[in-house]
Amino acid sequence: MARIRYIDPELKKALGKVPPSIRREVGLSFDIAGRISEILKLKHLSQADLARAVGKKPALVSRWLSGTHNFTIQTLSQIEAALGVSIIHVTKARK
Amino acid sequence: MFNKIILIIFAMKDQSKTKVEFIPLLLTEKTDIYTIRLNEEKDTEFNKFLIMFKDSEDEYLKGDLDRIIRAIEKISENGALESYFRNEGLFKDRVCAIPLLIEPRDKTKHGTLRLYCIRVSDSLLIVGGGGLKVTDNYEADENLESKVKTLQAIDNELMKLERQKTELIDEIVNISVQID
Repeated sequence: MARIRYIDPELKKALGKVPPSIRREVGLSFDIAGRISEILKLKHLSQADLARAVGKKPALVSRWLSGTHNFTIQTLSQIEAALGVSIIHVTKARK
Repeated sequence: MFNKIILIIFAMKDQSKTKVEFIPLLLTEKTDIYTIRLNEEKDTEFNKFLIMFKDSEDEYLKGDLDRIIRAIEKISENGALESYFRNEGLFKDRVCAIPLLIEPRDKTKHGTLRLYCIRVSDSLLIVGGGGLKVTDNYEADENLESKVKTLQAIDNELMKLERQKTELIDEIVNISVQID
């Protein structure tokens, strides 16, 4: 997590009131989008390359990377298969 | 006498310009996010937006505000990545909106919130004003159009400074610009 150098007091107060479910929803959405962007960069792939690999329109891929897309498990699986890397991990319960 | 009239006209013309200052909103080691203060008003444009909607009784708008605020926080952590933003203004400017995952709703009863910004780079974002969007595009709403036009004018001034080799990320807190 990036170290905070300064935060406006009103913004800080407002952030403190964001419900946990929305915190996690937006956090996940942005982190998934950021992770996909990072993988594309590492593999020297463009959004168009990913679109072709998953058989979707470029505009949809653009939405995936916007941080505002509500991913389904199916879509995440298609992306992981196309890129050959994991995007999300599920923590398993300890035995 | 004639010279005095000319001077008064020039003075009045300058007063019609808006002074814009850049006020820190959220600064991290990854991204600097500023907002703007117009004509030395008490509240910044971001604070005006917050004040307007923080006590909204509309659950959808309250949710939009929470998501926008949280998005600002995530942008500060991950960077103001180009992929997060859609150009809202003209192709020649960098005016965008804070990304918002919109909860499905009856658009005839509920609008959505829109908060506009200038994405200068992955490391520098300038948040302007916003409002309730009930139309298909901002041009159809006088308030939203005014917010976008203000940011377009600011972006124009910032681009002039960049062409003069000003490093905005280092200098922005010390500069102010004048817009029509």
